[in-house]
Amino acid sequence: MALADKLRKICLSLGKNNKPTYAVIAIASVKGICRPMFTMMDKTEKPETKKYTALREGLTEIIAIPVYWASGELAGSCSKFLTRNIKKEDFIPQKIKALMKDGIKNEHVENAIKDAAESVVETKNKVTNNLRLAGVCTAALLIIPAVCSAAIKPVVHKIIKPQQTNDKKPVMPEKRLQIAARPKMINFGANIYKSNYNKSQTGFRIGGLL
Amino acid sequence: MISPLVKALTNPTLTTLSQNTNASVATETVLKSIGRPGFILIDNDIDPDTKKYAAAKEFLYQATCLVVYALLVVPLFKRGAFKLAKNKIFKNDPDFQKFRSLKNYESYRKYAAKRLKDRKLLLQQHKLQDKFTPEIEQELITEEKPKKYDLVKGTIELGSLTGSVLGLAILAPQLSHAVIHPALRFIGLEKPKKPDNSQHVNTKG
Repeated sequence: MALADKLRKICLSLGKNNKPTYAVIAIASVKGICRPMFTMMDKTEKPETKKYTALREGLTEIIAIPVYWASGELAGSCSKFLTRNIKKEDFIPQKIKALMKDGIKNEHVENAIKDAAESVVETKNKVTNNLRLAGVCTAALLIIPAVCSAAIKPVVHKIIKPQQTNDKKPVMPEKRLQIAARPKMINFGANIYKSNYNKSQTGFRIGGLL
Repeated sequence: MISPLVKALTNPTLTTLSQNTNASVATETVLKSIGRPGFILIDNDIDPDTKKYAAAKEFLYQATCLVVYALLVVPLFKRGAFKLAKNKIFKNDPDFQKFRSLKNYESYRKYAAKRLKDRKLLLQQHKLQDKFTPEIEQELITEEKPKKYDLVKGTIELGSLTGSVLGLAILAPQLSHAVIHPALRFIGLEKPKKPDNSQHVNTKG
């Protein structure tokens, strides 16, 4: 029966005040464990890709848990400033107020005062919880994606160092065309019947020019 | 004096949303499906094609989560938790015996949140007296602030919480793995798989 009693306690607490942060933190915690695990179990991916993806997914949820909690609590704490002017009198009906002015104190007046006091507490709780929800929503829409996109890349690169490529391409020596030295040109003036080549370069010789 | 901001913040719809696990998780998932792809798309360090691919993948993942959540958690875990508590765990508890079903309890909560005058009028107009058990009907007609039945509410919330965790953290990643790649291929962000060349037809005889 101890288990049923514990369950009753949990259920009563959840029924009285179900903070919006409970669900999102519970989901993020289990996701932080299960999502990377499922990624690592995938046989179709390369091991390096799997490691990278699993780490990314795990880190996203690790970031999400404290951010959800902090933004929920921070937004909820603003309720003090918003509800500081709420008084019992705001919830007492006009008729009862008139009776109170006349100095009448009966069961109706006492009940109305009691109800008003309860309403003050209830309103404060409502404002706190609704602000918490607003905080959680802001975290989901803006804060977590922003923090993740700024922080995850450097952290992942620190943990999984990018492979340094040792197979650098060998530097190829520049190929220079070996052009044969141009034969020396001799200006022979205006005599067009004379050859432009040296005497030593003229004639047919087997084996090329010497 | 209650300020307009406080009045807006104590709005019954918003209060129901914040106190309801289903509603808050669904809202959060919708916002995630906007925020995460959005931040991927505005990141200037990523190649445009990779950005599109990653954003579409993230969006599809969150959409799958939302579908799984809507199909699984509400019908299965919420109703299941109520039935289990009513018939087994808290079967001797008088609070549970006052409600016929989960729908019945939710309907009660809806009426209980209204003023006594409005409530009476609505109950008479819609002839809903038969819907509730005599005890509950009496409470709705006579009490200014009807009981909230925290144990019943808490049981439903615990069921939703369990369903949310199982659905979003365990089932959705598995299902998304099967759904996302065909969807990306359908959109044209992923190349279709090449036919398997491992089975060669021996033409040499």
